[in-house]
Amino acid sequence: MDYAVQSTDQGLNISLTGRMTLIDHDKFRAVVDSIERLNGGICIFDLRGLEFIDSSGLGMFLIARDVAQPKGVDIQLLGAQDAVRRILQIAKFHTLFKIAP
Amino acid sequence: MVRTLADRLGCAIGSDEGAAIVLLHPASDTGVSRAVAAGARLLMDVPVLEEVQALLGGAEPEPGSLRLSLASGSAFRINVAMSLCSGLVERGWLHPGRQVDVELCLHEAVVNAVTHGNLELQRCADGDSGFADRLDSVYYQLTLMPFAARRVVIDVGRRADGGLTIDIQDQGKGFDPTAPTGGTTYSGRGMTIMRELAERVSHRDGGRRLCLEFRP
Repeated sequence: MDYAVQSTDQGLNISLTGRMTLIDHDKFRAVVDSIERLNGGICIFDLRGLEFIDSSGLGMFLIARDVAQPKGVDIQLLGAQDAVRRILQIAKFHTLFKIAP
Repeated sequence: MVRTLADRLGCAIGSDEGAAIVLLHPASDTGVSRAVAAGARLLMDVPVLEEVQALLGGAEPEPGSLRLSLASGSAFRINVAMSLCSGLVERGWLHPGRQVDVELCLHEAVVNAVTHGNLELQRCADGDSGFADRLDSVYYQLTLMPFAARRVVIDVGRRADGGLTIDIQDQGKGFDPTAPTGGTTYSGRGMTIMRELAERVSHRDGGRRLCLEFRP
């Protein structure tokens, strides 16, 4: 997995690309660090370039959510493609995150 | 020994595309996908005599099957699911429209076989440190015996209706598949995903063998 973090007027735009699995935890730790520095606002995960996510990857989004909530940061998952979108649905992530096409 | 046995029985062995028995030196994504696409029946990262004997002795379940046998380290290091499924599509055993589902299930199964099975790691604790600890534990256990020597064996078979059966076997202590999964907030969704995407999911051999079936 590769990632790019961009500050926006509202908060952060984090673009994830490639495959997101257990071995990417260290990289995702840096992503979570950037969320921890926010105070309110919106953090958008741009998933248009994410090709694959496994159950560990899902868990990492939940970590981000638990870090963001006390900070008043709203996490949104944007643009998941077919394979990733399907897994988000199976995991019922629509009940936990705002998911947009 | 493996080569001698294979030669005696007239079975091609090598690292070349088209060989029935392929030694992967070292195991790699492209090595697996190319060998599977080319029709290999047995792929190993190190020669395992018992595997060859089983294959040549007709112990495999069906003629239209293949076996991938990897040490835990290889199975964790390379993208087994992606490369195997890619090869199966090219070989004509897997419809491209089913590739994503099969790949995800196989990926979850292999990660479970390595971490929970061969390396005997429990589910990671909740919280960010849980994932970090899990990764550290995996890499540490992979340096220790007997964990490092244990293998993950994947058997792929074609059903009469064009579907696939995929068995993933580890060499760990096994577990009680009927017991509660003990999933945490952050982990434990692998079986849920597999049950959703596969046609059938079952366990054998005391939890050491996970059997997945996929419709065409």
